Amino acid sequence: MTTLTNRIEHKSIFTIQNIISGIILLVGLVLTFLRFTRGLGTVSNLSNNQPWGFWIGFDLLTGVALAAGGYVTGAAVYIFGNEKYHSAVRPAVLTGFLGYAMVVFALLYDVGRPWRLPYPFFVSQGVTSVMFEVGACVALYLTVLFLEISPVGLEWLGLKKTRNLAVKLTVLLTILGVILSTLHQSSLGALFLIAPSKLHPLWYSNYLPVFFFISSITAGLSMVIFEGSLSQRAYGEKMDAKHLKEKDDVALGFGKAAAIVLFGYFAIKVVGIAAGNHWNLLFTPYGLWFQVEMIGFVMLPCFLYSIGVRDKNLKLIKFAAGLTVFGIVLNRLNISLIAFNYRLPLSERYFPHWMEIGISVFIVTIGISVYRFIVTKMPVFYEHPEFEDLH
Amino acid sequence: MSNSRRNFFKQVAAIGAGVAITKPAKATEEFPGYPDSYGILHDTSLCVGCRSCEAACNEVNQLPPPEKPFDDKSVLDKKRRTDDKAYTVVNRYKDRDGEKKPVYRKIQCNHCFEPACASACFVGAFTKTPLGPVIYDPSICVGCRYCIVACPFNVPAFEYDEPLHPRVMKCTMCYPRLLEGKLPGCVKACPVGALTFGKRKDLLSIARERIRKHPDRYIDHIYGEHEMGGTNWLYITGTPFEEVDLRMDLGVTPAPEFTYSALSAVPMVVGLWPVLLTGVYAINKRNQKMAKKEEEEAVLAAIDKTRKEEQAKTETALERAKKEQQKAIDIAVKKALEETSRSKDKEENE
Amino acid sequence: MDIHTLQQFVFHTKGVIYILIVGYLIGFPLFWRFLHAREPKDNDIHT
Repeated sequence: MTTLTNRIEHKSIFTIQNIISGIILLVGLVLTFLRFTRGLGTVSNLSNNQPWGFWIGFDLLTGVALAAGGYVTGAAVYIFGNEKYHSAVRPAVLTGFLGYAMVVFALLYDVGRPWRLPYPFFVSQGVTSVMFEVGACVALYLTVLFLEISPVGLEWLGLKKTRNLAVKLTVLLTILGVILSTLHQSSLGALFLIAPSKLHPLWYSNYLPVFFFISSITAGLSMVIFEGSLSQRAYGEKMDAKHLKEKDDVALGFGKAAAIVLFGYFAIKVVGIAAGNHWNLLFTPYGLWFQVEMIGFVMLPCFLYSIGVRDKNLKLIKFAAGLTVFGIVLNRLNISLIAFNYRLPLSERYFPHWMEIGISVFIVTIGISVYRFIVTKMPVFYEHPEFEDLH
Repeated sequence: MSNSRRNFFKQVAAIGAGVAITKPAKATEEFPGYPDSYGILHDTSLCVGCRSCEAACNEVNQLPPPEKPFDDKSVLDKKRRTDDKAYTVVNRYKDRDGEKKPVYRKIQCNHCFEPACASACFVGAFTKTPLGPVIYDPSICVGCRYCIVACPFNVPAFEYDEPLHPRVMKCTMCYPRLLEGKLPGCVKACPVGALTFGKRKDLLSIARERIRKHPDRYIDHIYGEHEMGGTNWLYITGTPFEEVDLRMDLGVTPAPEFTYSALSAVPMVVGLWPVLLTGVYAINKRNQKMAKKEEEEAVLAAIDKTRKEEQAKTETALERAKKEQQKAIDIAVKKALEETSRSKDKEENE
Repeated sequence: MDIHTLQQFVFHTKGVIYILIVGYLIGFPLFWRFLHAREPKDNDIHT
């Protein structure tokens, strides 16, 4: 890791990282051109049976869940009064904001006529649709996150007055953020309620909205830990004493919270099976796959988290965080792709086209580049000397 | 209809307080739909798989020409579904015994009473018309394809090869032709009468009559009478419905109802989260303030205590000093007295 | 506008509810400020 920090310090443009990013961005531009000149059929394997593919399953559903760190951390610090996690707020909110921005960016590729995305609000309100609610909440929440993260930019620019105004809104924005997140995290699950005939009964449940909301909390907590360990390696020298001091506290506290939420999540998932009386399906091929998800990526990380918290073993906590994050990816892909259309013969099933994955990688690369730019230039991992004690 | 829907908020705003002067047809939450709407009855026992309906549909809706001509029967070797170039397709199914002639079944939009697509669309691009057809308005469609996810019959299709202006494509029950008083293209083209157009309630009695007259030819069930809350397209067949790809496990609940209970939680979350969260916030603020106050009081008390202790110490020290001083004085007085008495004695002795 | 279908009914009721929600979200912070307006400044619970 020292080589990495050295590279950042040397500021040579032709680092391996930058070359790889450059290639991805170049390919991404070509794919973008193809998407908007030849259509979705050329760049994707989407079909009339599988109208939602990798972009919805990964970029939208997973992206939104993993961007939950913003509201979770904000609530922990500003509403539940855990001031000792204060230094975790800015990185989490920044990741949340960039996450949602990437989600919306990905939607520009996925929907047929992206410039019409404001139509549901300004032209024709389809209020009976769950999608309307998701859209409204995501649009509003992106604005809320922008306002929440704006002090970072304003401090960087030295705009003291505007910055203080933005900081005054913190509690209001945090509460609004929790409301909007509760609504759209759960509604992403509710999207699938309309298709009980297509989604495998082990994953389909009337509780889908609750499952999505609760699992988004575990995703948010784990992402803060997971991302914290990555950023410490890459940007450790940027962090101020307070940030470094609180870092381990954050991992321990959030790890404990994640263990408890995962424990509860496992329980309500089991209730989901009981409510549908689907026990008999547990030992079918799909049932075994369901068990892999539940035992390997819910129960196991819960157990590892709790051991990590008891032993104050930060390494184990970080590993459990990675496992949980992977479990969320798996769960969202299961619901949108793998267990969806489970009745179709294999020949008609969907597998993502490499260009779909290429565009997703392109979007994530842009997101990471913007993240790197912001954390190296702006006060995210440290407090701006002129603005200390002000928040 | 689609116009009034599109301007919903304007409408409500115009009325003023947000309480539009509308009443449900019944006090209970059961809705009659459009009892006089039209439908089509498909009798698979009569269908010969000639694909005339497909040809007519293609022509009437000005869809692109097919890869293989409509009289090419080899198309039937493979199972097909509706797509953006075909609003309707006919599939061939082998008879269960393999002895009798094969069975054909036509697929197209079933025009649900409570369409899943219409409730799923976040711009309200789908409309259930009073005549029966469910129609689509491409001028507001965003292309999110949630309608395709939602449809339990796998009917709507998307123009994936259209880069900038893709539409969702599905049967309209020839709505424009109905308005002109004409028959739907497929019904008009059917040479064997496997398709019957009429008021849905009349079609139901026709279907019942056929089943009653020929109990050996038909299964005693009209598909679409109750499936997914009822559809305007109806089917009767002599082959078990599952075998001609008409799922019997869809149930009679209209698709939109699966989501409405979840949607009804939205206002409760918005209403109660602020109450709970500001409560938690206030409690924590208070706790923090109390802790701070306690801390301050503790500091004050500590200061007070040390001051008192010091005072006490000084006092005892002073007292001791006084005592010692007194002692010293006493001793000195004693000494002096002794000395005087001694000198007195001395004097007396001298 | 007559209501014949569940779709129309929900469209209508949800439309009204969404308007109420927006009103409530604007009204709540204002109510909070009104409630705490007379409290001393050090009690500042900013909304």
